[in-house]
Amino acid sequence: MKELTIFIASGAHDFARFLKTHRPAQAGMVLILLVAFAALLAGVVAPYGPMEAVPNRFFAPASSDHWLGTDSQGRDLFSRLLYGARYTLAVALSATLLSLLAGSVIGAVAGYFGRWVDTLLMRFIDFMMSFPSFLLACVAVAILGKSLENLIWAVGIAGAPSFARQVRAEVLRLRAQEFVEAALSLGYGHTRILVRHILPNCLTPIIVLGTLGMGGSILSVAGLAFLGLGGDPFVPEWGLMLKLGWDQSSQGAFQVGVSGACILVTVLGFNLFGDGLRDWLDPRSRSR
Amino acid sequence: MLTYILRRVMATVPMLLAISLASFLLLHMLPGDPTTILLGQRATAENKRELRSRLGLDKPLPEQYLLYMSDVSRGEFGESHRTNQLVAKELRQRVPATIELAVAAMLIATLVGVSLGVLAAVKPRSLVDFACLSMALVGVSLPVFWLGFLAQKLFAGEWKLLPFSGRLDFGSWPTFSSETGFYVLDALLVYRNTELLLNVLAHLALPALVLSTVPMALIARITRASMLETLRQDYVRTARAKGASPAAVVLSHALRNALIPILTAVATQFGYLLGGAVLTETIFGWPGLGRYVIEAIDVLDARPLQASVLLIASAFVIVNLLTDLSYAFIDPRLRKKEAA
Repeated sequence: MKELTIFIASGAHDFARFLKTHRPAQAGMVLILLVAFAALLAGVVAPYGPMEAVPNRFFAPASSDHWLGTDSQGRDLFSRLLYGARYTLAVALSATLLSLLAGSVIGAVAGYFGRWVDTLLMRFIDFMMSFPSFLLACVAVAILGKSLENLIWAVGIAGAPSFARQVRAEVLRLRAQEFVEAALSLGYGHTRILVRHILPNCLTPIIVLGTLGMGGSILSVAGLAFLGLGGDPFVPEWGLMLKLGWDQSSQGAFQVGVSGACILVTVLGFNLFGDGLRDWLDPRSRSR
Repeated sequence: MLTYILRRVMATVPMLLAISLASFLLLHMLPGDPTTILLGQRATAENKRELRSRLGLDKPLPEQYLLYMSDVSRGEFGESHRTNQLVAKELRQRVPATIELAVAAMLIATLVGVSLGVLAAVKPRSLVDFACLSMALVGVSLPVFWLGFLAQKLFAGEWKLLPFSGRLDFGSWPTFSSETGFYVLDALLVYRNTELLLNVLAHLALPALVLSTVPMALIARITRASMLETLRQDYVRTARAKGASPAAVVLSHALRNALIPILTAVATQFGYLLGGAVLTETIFGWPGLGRYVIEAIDVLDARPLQASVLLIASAFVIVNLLTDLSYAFIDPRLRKKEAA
């Protein structure tokens, strides 16, 4: 475990140095931190609770009481957006982690064992990828039922195949290296080699894939929620809030505008930061 | 060349079978009893029993699958319990609507995306390059439904330049009935009416533009990267040295060689649009396949869902197959390698 900590620490140090020279990644990090703080501090900063309705103040315009006005139920929009960061990030993060976990396990096993294991698993992945991933997520929700928790499963499953392919490619590359051969000749078991020798070396690309995947997960979750597949419509998740505003047509336009802007800013943050991470990992792509 | 084509075609057969199997099993995977799903909540026990034996749901699964496949091969997809219409009939209207939208969006995306990518690669670190990169980034970060809403508010609501939603202003064309399912083709070939055509195109403009953002961003990004790579090659320098005009160098020497990754991106994106236009179709009330899927999911309408899933995934696989085959035509080296 100690080696791994040193490995990560040295990587982080190297990345911090790279970050100083990479403007877009800096911008991305600022955006992510902003949203993360909103999520963490929502309970402290938000002037109202996310479900707290002020009677008879529906669709109030922006004022000193309500910085962004109120929604159709008289709830403070600004507070709901802050709490929304919590829900949106939590759901997207869980979905991305699920994709990463499933994708990494499938990809690593396929890449490491090769032969029929590889053929079988990759044919399965090809099959999954013959469905547009958003459609796959929609159908998964139909099977599992409409709720915010099930969106995690749906988006997580739909995102796994592309991760699996990329992790497999990485494992395939590492598998051919001498340190794996050395470990094999020392008589180590396959599980030990996979977990202690190969996976730590995949960690950086997996982190990059995860960061870039976050943006996609946020968009998918918001999209599914917008389609009415997110269950309880009053949960302050940004996609659900956008949908709620859209259902109110012109009176809800402002709500649609701000919740969409929150989604855009967050996704932009993850994509900028993820691109930066990738440039750091693969210097060949830097000039592009 | 022929063996390459044959091998590639043969490889898609098991994939199509797997897709058909998945769409078949969907009926059994949806929550609840299949007969309840097919008949809706109000079905009586007698109705259910009758349907069970009529559909062969009391038979073993492999036999049911064969029955399902024989129906599908005759173009029969069952009935929707939501609309009480034949799914095959509904699909005849839904599928052309989605194809029309997807083709329009891909035309915009490819035209703008490739041009931007080429311009950016010719002048790296210029203003065009910056614009290209920014667009590529924002394009994939935008929630399309949000963009659609804004576009609708501005172009249709504020400025009244374009219609809000739908495919045609049926108030002005009460007698219009589509022969082909593709309204643009109807206006061009059947009705031969410019005014009708303009009305159809006006309805198509906003959804197509909104739908084009994601593919446009990806195409621009890939074109730029691929062009940067080929512009560095020795043969490009040779072409410049022998005095070929800059336009000829960029277009016929570099772009042609940069085409394969671009083509892959265009084809993959087109495949996604065939099934992935759900959000855009919802915003603009576009009666296409994506919308059909969501309407079916909403009330767990199994037959439409099965048929759409089968159709979208098969189309996606076939588009990918055609892309792979077209490589052989673009890149003579692939042809030679296979022949050798």
